[in-house]
Amino acid sequence: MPSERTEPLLDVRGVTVAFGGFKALTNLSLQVPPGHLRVLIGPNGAGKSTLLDTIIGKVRPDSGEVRFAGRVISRLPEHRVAGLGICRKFQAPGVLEGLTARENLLLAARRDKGVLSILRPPTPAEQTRADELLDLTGLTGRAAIPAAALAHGEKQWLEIGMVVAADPRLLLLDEPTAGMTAQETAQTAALIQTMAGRHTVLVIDHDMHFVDLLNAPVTVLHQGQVFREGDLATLRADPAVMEIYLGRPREAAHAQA
Amino acid sequence: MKPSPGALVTLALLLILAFAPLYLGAYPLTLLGRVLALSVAAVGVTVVWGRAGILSLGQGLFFGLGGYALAMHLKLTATPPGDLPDFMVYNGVERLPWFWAPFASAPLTLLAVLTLPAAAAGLVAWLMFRRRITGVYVSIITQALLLAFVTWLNGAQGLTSGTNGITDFQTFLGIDLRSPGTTRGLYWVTLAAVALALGGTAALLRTPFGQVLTAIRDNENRTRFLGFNPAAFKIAAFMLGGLLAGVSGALYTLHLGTISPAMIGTAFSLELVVWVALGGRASLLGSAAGLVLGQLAKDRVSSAAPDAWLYVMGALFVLVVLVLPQGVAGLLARRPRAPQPPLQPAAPSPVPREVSDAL
Repeated sequence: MPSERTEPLLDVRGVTVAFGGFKALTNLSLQVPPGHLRVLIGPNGAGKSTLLDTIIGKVRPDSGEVRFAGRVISRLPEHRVAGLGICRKFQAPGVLEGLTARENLLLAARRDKGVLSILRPPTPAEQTRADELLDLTGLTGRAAIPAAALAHGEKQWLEIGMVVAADPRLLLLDEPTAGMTAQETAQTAALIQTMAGRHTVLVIDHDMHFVDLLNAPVTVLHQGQVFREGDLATLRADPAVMEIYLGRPREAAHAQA
Repeated sequence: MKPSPGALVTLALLLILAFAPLYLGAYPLTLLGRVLALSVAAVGVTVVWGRAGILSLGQGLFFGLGGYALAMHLKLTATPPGDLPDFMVYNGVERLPWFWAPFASAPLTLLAVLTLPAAAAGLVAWLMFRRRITGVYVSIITQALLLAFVTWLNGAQGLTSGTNGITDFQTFLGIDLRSPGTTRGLYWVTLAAVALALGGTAALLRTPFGQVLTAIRDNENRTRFLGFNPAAFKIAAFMLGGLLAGVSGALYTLHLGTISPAMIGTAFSLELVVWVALGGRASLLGSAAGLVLGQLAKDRVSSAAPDAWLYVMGALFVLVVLVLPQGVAGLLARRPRAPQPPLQPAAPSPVPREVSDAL
């Protein structure tokens, strides 16, 4: 019996997902130990987003299961999965546009999310947390503006702030730096590195420069399966990895960046 | 907390309306009382549609449940003890139907007015939102349920008095409904209900509950992945809409002294939505005022040119959709606001989206 310490926090076991005749994931297994940072790369259509969808319960696996802290979660409704401490940042900025930046953070920071307990106003601790995160994300001056009026980069930062506010055990980041400048990308990489340890983080990204900055173990997906695992330098030297990228010229440009 | 400008305007309007019996004649006062009763339902539509983004075209169902619940009591009170209501005798019904029996009691009736429409709304909402039915399908389902209810009311003559509706009321809680003093008292009771509906709803929407409803309207999936269960919140909002519609229906029945299927049908439910849209569906005061002014205009236009009314209403609705998506309240506010959802949010197509995400 493995001890609590070595048991992976996220344990994807032989998951297959098919959309009609198309197999997005084929018998895929992936383990991430608690407190680790893991990067997931792979060409378009490799199944990266589908894997995240499966982890958060948006997509049900046709076979196999997803375990979180030893518990099978692949049959729970999405809000229950989120309640266990899994938080996903989507590719497109997913802020709540009708609410202010501060309200976004306050809702994310709430512990009790039931329909009756929601009537409780935010606690001082939650308010402090929201203000800290506004500061951290540089949005203090924009706190009272509806999120819809924020710039694209500000929305990305706000969403990262929301993810941090929720203080999840497992953090799933889907292309967190899409649309960011080089400097913002570097800041985001630094932020993610400080979060690892306290949180377990799984990052998807195309941007090899960003992946390099994260300095973490990389898993390469290809055609719905784990193709290689290792550090980025080793993978870059691997001709088979280069080949699956070079087969798709648009991705190859990223890979060489 | 510092009162908002909207709250101050509401308070001022309610004060002016409170003294209406002193400066209005008998007919205008009766008319005003009626439309104020309807505006309670409009407040419900603001929560359900303006906040939660659920376009229900069947609010007449809950309005009707509240109205009929009270009407059944009034009918039984107006019937000599031991006798059956007159329409049952005409239709050859020999025993009081089981579901009429509880309405002999005034406290049970009041309880039913407050719980029955909300419970029915909760059930309808649970069936829809648990299955993640959204957008135009919700509008179709609510409309269809309303039609089924109206058809049953029309058909079950012996039980509901059919198309004639229930009428000939005399007293309520021992008060003679036909005396002039009652008209004034009923007006104030109605105004109090409007004030309570506006104040209570505004207070509720100011809690994080209101924020979650906005969040669900703008991005239901994102809200779900933050750990909130959108279905539960939508059911709660829909129940509140049902409660307010039911209270509105009961008050309206008292004002008119009758309730019939024609009063609660499709035309009524659509009109309710049109007035709310015109007033401003995101604003409580705006939608209540939109309804009051719209109904008063209806009274004028339809007495002058009965055939023109539907065209006027249709034209107003088109105008609102094209020119004033925030209604008159949005025009007056003119503050930077978050974009509002389209009138009929596009139906979701989960599978293609997942496939496109995956590719």
